[in-house]
Amino acid sequence: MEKVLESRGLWFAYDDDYVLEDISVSVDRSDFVAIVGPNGGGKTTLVKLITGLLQPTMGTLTVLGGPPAKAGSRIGYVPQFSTMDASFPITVLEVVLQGLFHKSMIGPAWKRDAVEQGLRSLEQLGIADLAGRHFGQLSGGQKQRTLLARALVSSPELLILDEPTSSVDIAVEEDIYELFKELNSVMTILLVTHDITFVSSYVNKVMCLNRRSACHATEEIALERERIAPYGHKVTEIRHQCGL
Amino acid sequence: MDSVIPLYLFTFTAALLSGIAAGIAGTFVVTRRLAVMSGGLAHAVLGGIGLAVFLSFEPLWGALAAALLFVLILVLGKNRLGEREDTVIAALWSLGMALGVLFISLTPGYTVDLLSYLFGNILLVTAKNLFALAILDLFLILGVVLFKKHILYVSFDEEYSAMRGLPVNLMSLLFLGVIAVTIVLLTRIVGLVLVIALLALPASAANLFSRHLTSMMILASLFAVLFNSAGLGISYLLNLPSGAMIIIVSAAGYGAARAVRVLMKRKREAPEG
Ligand SMILES: Nc1ncnc2c1ncn2[C@@H]1O[C@H](COP(=O)(O)OP(=O)(O)OP(=O)(O)O)[C@@H](O)[C@H]1O
Ligand SMILES: [Mg+2]
Repeated sequence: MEKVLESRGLWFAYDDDYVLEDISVSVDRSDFVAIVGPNGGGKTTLVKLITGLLQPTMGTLTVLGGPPAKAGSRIGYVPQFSTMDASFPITVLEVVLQGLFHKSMIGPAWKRDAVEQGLRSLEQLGIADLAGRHFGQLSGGQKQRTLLARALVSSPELLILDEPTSSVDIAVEEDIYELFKELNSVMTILLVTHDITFVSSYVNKVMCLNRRSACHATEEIALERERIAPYGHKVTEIRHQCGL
Repeated sequence: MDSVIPLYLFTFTAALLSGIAAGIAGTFVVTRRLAVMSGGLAHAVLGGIGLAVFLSFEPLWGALAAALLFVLILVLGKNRLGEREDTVIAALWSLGMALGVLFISLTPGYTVDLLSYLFGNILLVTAKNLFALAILDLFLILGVVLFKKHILYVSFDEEYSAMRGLPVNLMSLLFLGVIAVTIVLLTRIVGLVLVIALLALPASAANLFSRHLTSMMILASLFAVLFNSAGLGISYLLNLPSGAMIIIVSAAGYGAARAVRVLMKRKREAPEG
């Protein structure tokens, strides 16, 4: 079966020092992978390599059967930090529609079914009533949900979430994870998180990235769902191994 | 030939054509936070003007060449050498002006009206200038209509646009190029010291009332035309410097827009009854 993600001996440096060293990972279709690791462990860097925003210094990385740059329109991505300007003139619906935008779309108007798709995606995240609001004036959690809607609107094959719920309230967070679980039947999910205990009942693989070396990246710790019961112990073990 | 057109009509045409360009390019400047870059570029253009005067060819070409060179050095300095953007801007800003002053002082027997380059003079605007502005407006409007979504998304979130395969670097360069050309054409009217306010103030005022990028551009253009016309009108009636008047009116207009915005908010927040 075709791998969704495969890397071999992947190295990456921003400047002179390697941030990722010799990473070899593979992710199968319909996996739900948690990426954990300490601050500065290289999680966001790995995500940016997968989305084609950074290029590997050495090694190979294949995403959805090709180079990352070719996979971009089949990926939904929620970045860790949104650096957007708060007074930028754009509505919530327009933000979501970015997830459907392709460079061949000339002209100012959107097709009606694209708009409907965008509204459906907002509905899925429970914020359909915000569609016409100015994006910059939303609360942090509402912004995150909008960015989630943008990532989901195109029904991507691979969904990459870099701490996507850090600002949403607990009730919404649970709803969103239930949604991820549901979506996982049709898409592969990579989730960067610090809350390994919380996600343990949702994911089927955990990948540890620790500083400059991938801790257990080659042999992802398989967490079979049946073994949930003694899981508390397992979480502690992973924490320990990852230096968390 | 210029004298065939009545002065007031000529002046209003200048206000209209430069207002449209200022509104659209100004929206790029404000939303992409390029105000300081634009100010530096406008000043550095004097280097090109000075060289053109020294070699006695059309100053406009010297200005254009200097503006594009500024963009090129800025982008290379930032992306290739990893130099800080504001440092490059500051250096080019002063260097451009220094070269301009040097070349002008070296020009034998030429007493160039330096003040009119610095602060603009509507009386020195030619029909050719207006024609160039009209072409620029047409280009900008067409570009925005065709590539509205490209412009919107690259401006809003460059990273996500890059992931989805948009040519973000090329587009960023185009934004800078458009701003550079607009600045050069507008400096004839308000001068290179003042041009940045003509770009930034109407667009910032428009931003207060806009939820969409295109409505911001349209409103910014309307504001700019209004500020231009009022500024030129006052300068004509009271015989005051035209460039300075336009900027003073723009600043007042921006202040008024802020006040209206506050009042609108108060009214919305006021308790019923
Ligand atoms: N743009 C950058 N330029 C240079 N170094 C960077 C850059 N971004 C990150 N780094 C460095 O790369 C390393 C990994 O950073 P990264 O953002 O991938 O960590 P992370 O695992 O996502 O951390 P966190 O949990 O805090 O989000 C860090 O040492 C960081 O200092
Ligand atoms: Mg991170």
